[in-house]
Amino acid sequence: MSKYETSSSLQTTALQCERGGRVLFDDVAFELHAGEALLVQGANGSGKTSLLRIITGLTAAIEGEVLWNGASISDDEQAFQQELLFIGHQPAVKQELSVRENLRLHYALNGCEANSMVELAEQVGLRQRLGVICSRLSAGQQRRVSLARLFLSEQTLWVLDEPLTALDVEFIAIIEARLQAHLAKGGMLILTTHRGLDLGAAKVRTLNLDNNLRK
Amino acid sequence: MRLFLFIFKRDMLLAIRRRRELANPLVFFVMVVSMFPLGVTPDHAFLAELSAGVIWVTALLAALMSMDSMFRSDYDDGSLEQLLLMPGSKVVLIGAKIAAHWVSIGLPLVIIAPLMSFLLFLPPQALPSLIITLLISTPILSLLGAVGVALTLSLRGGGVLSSLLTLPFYIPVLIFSTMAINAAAVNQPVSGYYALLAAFLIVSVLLVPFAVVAALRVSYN
Repeated sequence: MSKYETSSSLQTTALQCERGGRVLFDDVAFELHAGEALLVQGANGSGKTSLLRIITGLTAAIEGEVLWNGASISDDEQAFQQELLFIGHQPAVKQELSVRENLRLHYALNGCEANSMVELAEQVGLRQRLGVICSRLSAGQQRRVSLARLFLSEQTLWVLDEPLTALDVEFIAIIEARLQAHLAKGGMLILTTHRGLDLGAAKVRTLNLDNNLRK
Repeated sequence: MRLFLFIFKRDMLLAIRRRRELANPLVFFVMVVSMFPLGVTPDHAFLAELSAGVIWVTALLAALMSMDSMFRSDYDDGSLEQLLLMPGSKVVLIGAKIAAHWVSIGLPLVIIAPLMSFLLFLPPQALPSLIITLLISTPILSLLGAVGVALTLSLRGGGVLSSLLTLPFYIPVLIFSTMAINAAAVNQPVSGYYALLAAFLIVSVLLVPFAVVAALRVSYN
């Protein structure tokens, strides 16, 4: 796993996205460097999630490219995926498995050994729930299981889609601190949220997709 | 290899937790086969003639029923996209998922099929060929089914469409397998059929994972 390449950069060239025959956004271009955050804003249905999925490479843009360190992400998928942490709208928590088993999957997804599981559970406030099957957890607790990956991650680029949904105030503060630490170390962050978020001293760019609608 | 084992173990664990869902195709298989003597005729000679076809058609439909489970829940809860974003070979990842599906669905079918063959008075000399054809062909069913499911993941009611897509490709497997069993029942040579099925299996193993990766990309667009 990589350790925060501070020379990394992410760049997009005039992205266009179409959903169901309708152009959602057009000409979305931005640049992101180490230690910077990009806040994607826009009304419901303006294509925030679609944009994030294009950035991760899950979906292809109709036009435009996503460049990682100057090269298209599809050219060297492996190198990009080494540096990428994506937490999507769906929490990717397996309902049939216990918290412990889900966390173990996180470790494997992040390519590290599961030797500090209790500590990790402590950090996300689920230490007492390690053995509980996830379908018995509340939505907020499931979100916590999903966000536990942030505490393992050494990836440079974090792409988070509405990470704060269903979380309580206390845990939002913990996540804010974690995001700030990530940015301070030279990480990059792209996220959507409908809620105000304090990212501390980091440079925060804002991208409002409502302005990129094709009229 | 580590990736393969990780995905395989993960899917097996999930399969064990979802026992009830897993049992569905097996229960279907047992019920349909055991209804035949009751519904058609208990006549030995007649059932013996039907047996290869009945067991094979039922096993094929049972396998088809279970295909949706290969990617559906992972797609719905977002795990599949996480797996696809993992660094590592996507082909290996898909291969491991298909292998886990075969072990949790195909293999149990192979194991109970001989038991069911007694219900239908399958001639004893045809029993080895029943087991061998099932062993060679159930992986083919899992492999081909994966392509259909992957292509239709993002569609509402994709289950029906994927069955329609997959079924024509199952037909040759069905034909050669039942021909092999029927040939064995009358003590004819069967190695030719095995060779054809094995060739089919090898081609599927080599090509299908790539096709599934491409199909998943289509589904995510």
